Amino acid sequence: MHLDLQLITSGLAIGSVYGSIALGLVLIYRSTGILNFAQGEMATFSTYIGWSFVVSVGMPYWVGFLLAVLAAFLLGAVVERVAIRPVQNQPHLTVVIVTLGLFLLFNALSLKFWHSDVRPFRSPFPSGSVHVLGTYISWVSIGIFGVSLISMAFVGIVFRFTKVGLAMRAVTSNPMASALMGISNGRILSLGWGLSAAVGAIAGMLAANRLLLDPNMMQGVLLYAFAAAVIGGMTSPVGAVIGGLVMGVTNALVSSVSWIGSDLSLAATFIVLVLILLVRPQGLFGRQIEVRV
Amino acid sequence: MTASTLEFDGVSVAFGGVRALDDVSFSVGEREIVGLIGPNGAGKTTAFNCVSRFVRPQRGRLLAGGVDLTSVAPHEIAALGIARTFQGLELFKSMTVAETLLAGQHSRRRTMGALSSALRLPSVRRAEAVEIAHAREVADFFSIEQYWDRMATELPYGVQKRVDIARALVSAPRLLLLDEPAAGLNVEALAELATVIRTIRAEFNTAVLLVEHHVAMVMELCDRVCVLNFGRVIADGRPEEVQRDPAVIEAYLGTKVTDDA
Repeated sequence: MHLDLQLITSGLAIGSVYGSIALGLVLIYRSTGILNFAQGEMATFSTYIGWSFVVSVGMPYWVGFLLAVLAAFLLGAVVERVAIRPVQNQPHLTVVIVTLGLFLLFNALSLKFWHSDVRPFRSPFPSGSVHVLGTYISWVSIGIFGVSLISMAFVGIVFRFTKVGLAMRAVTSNPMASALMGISNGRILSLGWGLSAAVGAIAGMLAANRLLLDPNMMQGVLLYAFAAAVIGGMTSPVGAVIGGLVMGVTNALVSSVSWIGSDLSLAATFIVLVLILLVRPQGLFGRQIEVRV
Repeated sequence: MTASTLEFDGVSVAFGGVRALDDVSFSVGEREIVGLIGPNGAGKTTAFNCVSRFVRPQRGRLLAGGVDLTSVAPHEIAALGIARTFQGLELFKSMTVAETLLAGQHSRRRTMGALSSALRLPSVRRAEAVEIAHAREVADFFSIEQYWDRMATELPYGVQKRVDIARALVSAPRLLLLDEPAAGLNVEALAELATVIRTIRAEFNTAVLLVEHHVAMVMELCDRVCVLNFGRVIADGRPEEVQRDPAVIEAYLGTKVTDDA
């Protein structure tokens, strides 16, 4: 195992993608108790929308990027309103089936509109690398990491400093009391799904260059993101982001071990996950679940 | 007669076969303090929950400033000038007292764009400064200013109770619903409570409707008392009238057993 900076930065870059998807999962989970299995497929679908804007229509990359993020936001809000809210008060399993259905739906829609061929999606970042501390770090890694971090910080700022963010936290904590403060729970939950989908779309767009765009692109990422959310404690947004980075770096480091390689890296990474959970069952940032009697 | 702040007009609620409220009519006038009392299961909480829109009446109207509450969504109640406290407090976890008092103002806060909020534009800061100043005034009134940056749910019970009332009052309601404010208070706090509620009316210019088990406190505090028993209003009037009412005495103490029955 080489502990070199190049591996770590490349791990941080893909880890920030895991972290973004994990953040989306956690935002929805903590406010509604729903595990959104469609998080990755919705991100893939939005990435295709971005791809169409940039490649088919020929828009400048960042214009297409922003339009795709906007489209994802609307998509998330509509999905909440149309597919989730009607089953919100049903047993957990019902809701899980619905999000699995959304997984299949968005996967099928991507396949229908853009077909199964693997497409390259050019990176908006320069292709070279920068010489740091005796090693080379690619601009692509720096770019992915930077943009993910900015988007996740933006979510943090919304939660910390805006009226809507405060309302979101209120609904998460106590939907009944927040309704009586004049907060529309439905609108806030729609916004939450929109925000999650938007963060997911950013992750998808950033990952597309490295993973290559195909309808199943985010399925592996979703696995890592679930693991990242669990490491982070399922309800902590900061935990989810750090969990993602831990997964990315661990994965990069273990795959450099010759007898593990990229074939076994997924398994090895999850062994690390299990070890972390053995020491801290509630995750790095989770609290012990309180059950109200 | 001036328009009342809240008016129950023939409200009936049944849960299955149980009549929780049966043709209930009473009203709360402007700046009036009204107590809603009655034995356990009389329908007090159901009446409250009708106003908060957790329970939908099968019959009757619930008027607040001319608007029928039965056709309004729960989150629209606050904008009509009605706020409430909770017996179980129901404070927001992982929010400071300051944030709690901002969330309480949700119905009157201006919505700012996410981007302008993120960039802390002057317009955002000005609006927020007004909201924070208002929250501080209310916090000061309830002597919870020293807990401003503390997590609300980590404070002692008595303080949390004050945060709960403050959260309701920052929205500057015309009617404050208090759900068993005396519950869990010790003797001294109980003695103070009546004074506090009267001061709230004077300071915040609001009517108060309270559900309370503590009859003595209600009689001392309220302008008017409404007594429910088995979902019906059995008395409605000034405390001294209600106290003498035979139906009320019967509901609370039971029928006198007479030998020649």
